[in-house]
Amino acid sequence: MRLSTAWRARWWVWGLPLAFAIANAAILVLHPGRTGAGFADMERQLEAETRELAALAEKEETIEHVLADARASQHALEELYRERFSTQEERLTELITEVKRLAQRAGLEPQAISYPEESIDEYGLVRMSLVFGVEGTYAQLRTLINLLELSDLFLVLERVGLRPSAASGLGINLQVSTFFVREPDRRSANAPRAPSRSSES
Amino acid sequence: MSSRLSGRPSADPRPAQPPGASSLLVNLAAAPFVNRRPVQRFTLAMWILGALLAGVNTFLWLQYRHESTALRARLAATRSEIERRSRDIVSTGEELGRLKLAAQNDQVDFLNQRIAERTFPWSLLFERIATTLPDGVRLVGLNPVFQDRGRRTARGAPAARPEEEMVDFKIRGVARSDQELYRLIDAFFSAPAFERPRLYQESSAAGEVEFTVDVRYRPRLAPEESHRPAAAVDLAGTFDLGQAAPADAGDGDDESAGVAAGETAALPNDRRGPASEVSR
Repeated sequence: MRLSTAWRARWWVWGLPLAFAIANAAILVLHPGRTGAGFADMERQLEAETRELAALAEKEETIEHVLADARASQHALEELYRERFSTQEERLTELITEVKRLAQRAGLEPQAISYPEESIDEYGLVRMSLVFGVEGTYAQLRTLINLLELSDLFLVLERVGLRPSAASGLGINLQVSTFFVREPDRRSANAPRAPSRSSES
Repeated sequence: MSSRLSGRPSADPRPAQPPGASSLLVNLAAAPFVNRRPVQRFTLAMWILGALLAGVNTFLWLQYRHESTALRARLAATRSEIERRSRDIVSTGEELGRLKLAAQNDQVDFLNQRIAERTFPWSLLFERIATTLPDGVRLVGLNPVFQDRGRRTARGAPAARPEEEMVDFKIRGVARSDQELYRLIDAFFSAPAFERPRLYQESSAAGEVEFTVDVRYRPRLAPEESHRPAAAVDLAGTFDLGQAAPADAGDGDDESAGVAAGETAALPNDRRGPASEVSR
């Protein structure tokens, strides 16, 4: 009875610290930092965005790889067009001279050469062929073909025709093609025609 | 005088307390003793407990704030990185669009095919044909039909391995008899470098048989695989056309060929391609 009187007499003296402790205990129990509830949403969001970032990074890497390949192809194309094909103005006479020189090295003498042309507008190229016949032996034919294979010029052997020849044993008809970069109209219009060149488009 | 001395009961049972009397004389019944120590101890304990919990809570809150700030910063950095990469992807895609990738791929396919034609091993082909041609057969024309790679394979399909690369050949020649021509067809069937020979046309002319054969050829097959010593013939003899009849001789009715058109068509279909034209 006396004890309860003591507790009751000035209840706020002990009630206040009790409430303070209980409030802190409640905060401790419910604090989002302890339960992790406050981070769960953010962590889920972060995880989702990290996955999205990884997917984007992979996509970017793929696209950059494609772009690098495309640039390399573009560079190779430009180099091929510039160094190998070039224009007729730059390479035509050199090419004809080279083919004749190779034929002579093989012991063959082209008597007549025709130069049919085909424009490949889609790729900005002109395919020009050298069609010629020579008289010789099988060994000379093999030598010429081997020399054409080894030539630094872009020469494509497209057709080989053989016929009997009373003079030397073998008549050989060859079609060798090459490519030139098609010149712009204004330049081709002003460009001088190649000497002794019959066009058969 | 007091009532106790007078012998009369007093109305106030408590004796009158003179002013300045000793505490021993305090009436405990009027002011009872109250033990406040448990209350004080409890109060003190609650304050201490409350303070400890408050400290822990403050620490946790600070930690929470720190972690929350760090997490928000990571989230913001990730979002920023996503936006940056998205912009990069868009700009890279635009750059790819400017490069006209599809057109460039077509162009690369076209040029690769031309380069394949340029590097076509003609000398090896001549050697292989020389080892494949039987005696009594000579060629008068070789015409490769290069197909555009882009037309042969769908876009994105894996490219054929070099040794699987095929080139169609149209071969024109002259045989002493049709049996020798058929031996050539059989030789093409059995040679690893050649495939699917198709006798396109044959015709008798000046006692010989002129023919046209389409055959598929593997130019990049390793040379040793195609070597067949049994079929080897003299190279010079193979293309020795000096003693041959002209290729443009008119159609003859030469009966010495020994094999009629019907017999030609009767050759096993599983070994020969279909003869689309047989004329004698």
